[in-house]
Amino acid sequence: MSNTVPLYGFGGGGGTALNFSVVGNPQPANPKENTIWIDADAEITSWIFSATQPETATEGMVWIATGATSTAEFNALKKNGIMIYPLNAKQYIGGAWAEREAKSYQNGAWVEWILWLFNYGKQDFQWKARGWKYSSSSGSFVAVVPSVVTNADGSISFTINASSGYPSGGMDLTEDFDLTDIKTLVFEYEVTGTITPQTNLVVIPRSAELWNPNTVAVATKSAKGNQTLTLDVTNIKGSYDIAIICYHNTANGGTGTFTVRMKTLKAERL
Amino acid sequence: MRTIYIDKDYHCHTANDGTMTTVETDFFDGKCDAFVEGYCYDTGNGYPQIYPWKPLEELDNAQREYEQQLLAEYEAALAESVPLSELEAAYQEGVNSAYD
Repeated sequence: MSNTVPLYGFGGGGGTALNFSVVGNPQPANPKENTIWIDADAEITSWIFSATQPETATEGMVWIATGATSTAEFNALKKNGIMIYPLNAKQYIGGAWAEREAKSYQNGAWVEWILWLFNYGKQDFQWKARGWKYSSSSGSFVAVVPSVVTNADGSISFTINASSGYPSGGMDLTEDFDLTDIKTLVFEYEVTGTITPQTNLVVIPRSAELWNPNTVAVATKSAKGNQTLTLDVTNIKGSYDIAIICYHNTANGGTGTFTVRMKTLKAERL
Repeated sequence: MRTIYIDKDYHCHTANDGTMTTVETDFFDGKCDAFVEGYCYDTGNGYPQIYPWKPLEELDNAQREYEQQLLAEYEAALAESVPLSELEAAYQEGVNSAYD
């Protein structure tokens, strides 16, 4: 597997020797196999596949970052295979790199490059059918029945009334997720309410308890407003549950309510 | 709760070489030193992230060996202890002797 192939091309399309093409908006209605669509309104003046950010760039250039694995790997050449493992795309606009959504057309369907475990803004994403569930933890933490709602924008919110003890609750996957080829989990969310909970992004073995002594990895933040939690899972191989667990110690932080609104959770590949 | 030490690369240690940051956490309660020292306590993003920097399988194996050793020590201690029946018999003898 190669993750440092410096393929470079001009224009949005592909050459005759190439087994793919790179196009911007509008997304083609009848794409060919290995069409790479970049959600770019500005003209794609050139493209480059590289594991590292290009040292020089020109307006409109699309940089496709490559890694060791991908949801949309493909053979770049019609003869003599050079396997490419695209991870994400950025376009150079006005002197800066801007992220762009990208998909590959393979085997009759558009394949997303980014593994979304949750994305409130998308009608469909890979994990949507399997979904998330609410759970409350017990033991040291008081099990609390929350108010869980799906908002009009597709985000999920759960509200906890912290009236005593260590009330806690969270959302976790209904099925274990294989972290073997995953580098990072990135969770975007919003916290509102009268108190500030501790929000945890955790990797745990499948269990009836969300918060258990066998937590494998955790990222923790106590803050309100729009937030991001990032967790390095590079050295975790195999399948695990992923959960968002929020709790509050009323003895230290007083009583009140808090609401956690889940926006996106993505799994970035190695 | 356990005291651990963090080096400049956010790697965890069970002893301080004089240059490390001290952290109190319950994440490693019950874990052996080898397990602890395979983890990072990373605050580089402004909040704590605790994750393995060594392969988790290797750390799990070290923890299992540690727990097996603890179990073996516990069982050895049990084997050397006075059986409960003997303790009960001695107690009863003492109780009975008070009425002699």
